[in-house]
Amino acid sequence: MQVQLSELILVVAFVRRLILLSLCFVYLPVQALEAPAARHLLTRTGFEPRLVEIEDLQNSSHAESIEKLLHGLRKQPTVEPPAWVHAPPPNVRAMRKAPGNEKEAFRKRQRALGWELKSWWLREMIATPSPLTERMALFWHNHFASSLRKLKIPHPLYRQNELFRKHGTQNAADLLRALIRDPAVLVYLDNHRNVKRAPNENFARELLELFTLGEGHYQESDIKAAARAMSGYGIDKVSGKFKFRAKRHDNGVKVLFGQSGNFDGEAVVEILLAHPRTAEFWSEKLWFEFTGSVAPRQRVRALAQTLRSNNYAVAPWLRSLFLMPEFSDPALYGTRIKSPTEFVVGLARSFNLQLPPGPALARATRRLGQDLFDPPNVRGWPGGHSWISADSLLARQQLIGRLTRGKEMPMMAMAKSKRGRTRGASATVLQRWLAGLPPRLSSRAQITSLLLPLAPVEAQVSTASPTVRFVESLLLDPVYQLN
Amino acid sequence: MHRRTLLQAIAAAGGAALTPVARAAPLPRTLILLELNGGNDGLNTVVPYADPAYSVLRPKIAIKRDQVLQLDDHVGLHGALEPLQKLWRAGDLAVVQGLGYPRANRSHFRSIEIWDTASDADEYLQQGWIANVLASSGIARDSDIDAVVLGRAYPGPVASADMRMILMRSPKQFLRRAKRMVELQSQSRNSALGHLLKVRSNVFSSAASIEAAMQATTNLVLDAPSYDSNLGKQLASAARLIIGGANVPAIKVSLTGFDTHAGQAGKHRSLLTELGGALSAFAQTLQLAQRWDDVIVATYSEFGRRAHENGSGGTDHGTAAPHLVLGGRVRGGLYGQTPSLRTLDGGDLRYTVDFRNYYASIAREWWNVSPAAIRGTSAKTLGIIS
Repeated sequence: MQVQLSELILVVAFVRRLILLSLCFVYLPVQALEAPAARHLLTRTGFEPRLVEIEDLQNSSHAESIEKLLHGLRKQPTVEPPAWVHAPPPNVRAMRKAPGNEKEAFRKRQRALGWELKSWWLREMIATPSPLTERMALFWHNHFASSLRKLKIPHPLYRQNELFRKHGTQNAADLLRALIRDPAVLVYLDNHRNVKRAPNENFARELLELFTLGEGHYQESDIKAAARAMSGYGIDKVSGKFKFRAKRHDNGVKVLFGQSGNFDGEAVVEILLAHPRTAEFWSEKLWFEFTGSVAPRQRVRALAQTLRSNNYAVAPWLRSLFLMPEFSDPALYGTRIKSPTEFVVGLARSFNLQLPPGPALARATRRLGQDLFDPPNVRGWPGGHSWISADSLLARQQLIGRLTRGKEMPMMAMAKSKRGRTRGASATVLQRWLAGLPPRLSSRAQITSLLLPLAPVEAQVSTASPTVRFVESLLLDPVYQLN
Repeated sequence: MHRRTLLQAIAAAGGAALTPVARAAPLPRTLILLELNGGNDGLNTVVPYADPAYSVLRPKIAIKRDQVLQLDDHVGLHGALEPLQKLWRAGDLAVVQGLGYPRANRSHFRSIEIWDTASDADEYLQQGWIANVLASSGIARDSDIDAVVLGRAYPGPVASADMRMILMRSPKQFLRRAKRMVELQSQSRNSALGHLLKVRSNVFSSAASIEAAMQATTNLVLDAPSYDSNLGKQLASAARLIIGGANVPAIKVSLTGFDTHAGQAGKHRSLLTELGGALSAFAQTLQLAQRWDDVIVATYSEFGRRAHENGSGGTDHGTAAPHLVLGGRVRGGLYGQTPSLRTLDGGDLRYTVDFRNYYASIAREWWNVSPAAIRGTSAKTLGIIS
């Protein structure tokens, strides 16, 4: 039988792939996770874990643990949001014509509501049984950035945040489809001003440059075409909901990436989803979010391939990432810098902090460089090394200092006793935490590996048994900033 | 492992810094980079008031002739920059027109990257152009700090893995925290940890200089109302660092809000008011302290804006724009050519001076650094500084 060369090549490629696949399977760790590996998985996919979270995973293998985490992904938050999110949003345009003092009162109230929203999200991150859900919400928030500063009212940002769970943990294509009708995005990027007779390119530009393809993968003409396709997509001035105005929509033929048609916004999204670069761009960012490093090309291609071949479903995409060797390599523990949110939420979760009412936590993350719902610009927070500057590092140290001196969180009043009088912090947070550790985990070595991803770089305070000072020195060690 | 507290280090350095300096050697020079973040509308900043095409391009938002501070028979400044008139008359203000580059990019992030790294439109460089200049010369040899970044916490032109750079909200806040840190000297095991340790190390050695400068300027008068604005506060901090002897070669300050796609008139006026007021107060402070000759302030921005106004009373991203250079040694006047309003590039102004020449002029004329340190520039510089 004559075999064509091309057929032979195909067969060889197939067999080779099969062998590689089975090798991967063989090398997958099937034994139960040791504590450091469990800890690493939890901090990388969530926030600093409580002891029970680590112990829970230690009965499973690496692959099983990942399935547990993926299975726990949620489509909705667990903490009830402030009541006002369900009311119709205020009419910002109408307020522009209001007299000065009314305007000022309005601004003040919206600022206060903004703080409430930020505080709500932080509480969700602390309370949630699925930290991975919130990490995905944060990932999408950073990628599809919109900001409160420009929108002036927090209501649309709550709705957008819902999308980051509802679709963001399920299907990335559905998320993008939902976002081109999302009032927060449309207003933030001026698309409500994008009309047939006077196209506004802002949304179209960011859609291509920052949300899907990245710089260098489109022409200016593609932006112009996408802007025309998105014309008329705006919001209803009264209800704040999405509204398509056909009269303002450019119904002509547009040429986008060499394809011709009377495209509207939805068509543009489908074209972008069909473009191979989108899944790659998103995969590059996902890798960076969870590893703090730049992905090698083959990993990006593999992740993108998984994303596309599963029709943009999120769980297989995450599974693929978490099963990659770099993700669980012990040599790469502690090579990623925690974001301000992870740092603050991690402290709150792992030390079971009593949360103060009000925006103390939200102010803390802002102080450290991450104001939730208010990224610095549409590119989001750059992350990585940029989280640490002279200023932010000192602020992190200061926060820990306040924590260990019994002040729980900055600007928080001391916990009131049942008699209503303010008590001194006789039992500080760290004393309580130490007292709560089971005896088998109370050695200095155990506490160190519970709190840090790597051995500390500072010489340790030498005491016979672990004290508050010892724990404090671990938290102040530079290694505590890493996961 | 060698440890000492910052307080001990400051005590060691403080004595020397506080004794009066014998004026034998020339005082160190500082460059202040003033980022106009968002893309400043150059056409309404340096206004070609005498050109009839101007008000045809901008029927609603053109600056009226009687609101323009005439610099010569053709161009003038937006009226809100009135506080800078004194500096113009004293010859301390240079206006460099038509700054841009070939194949200009109109994305905020890409274009500011190009300006920050002095790259070509299709090159992707990592280091800030100031970082290159400082690294290739011995300018920062006698300093403890290469650069201080105030305002927008974005290093831009001073960005580099190796620069001794401090990003701070204010010297006071920075010092309040630095005092609690313990100095560490250890090797890094990974780049994230290495970065953490390097930042700590920077904090430690810089803080001593900054503390000394703050102590030396506790009685410095900074009560001008213009110092209350965001930019004013940054320049006040810069003044204290310079006059107090911190010896920081480069200080970056920034003013944000220039991305005026809609309702430009009021916003732009307000920004230029802040700009003019803060710069004027700063110049006065430095003149009083007899340090005005040791400082240059140079503005820059990611791009100018389109020649036509848009349908929302604003302007969209454009290309060429003018920038301002101020200082005691500046040779005041107009430089470059006013971009033509008739020959546009798809609605955009054509640049007349490559911004790399602007940088090269600063590097050569201010610090005597060869323009070769800035890639792709001609040997001839603009002659802005004497």
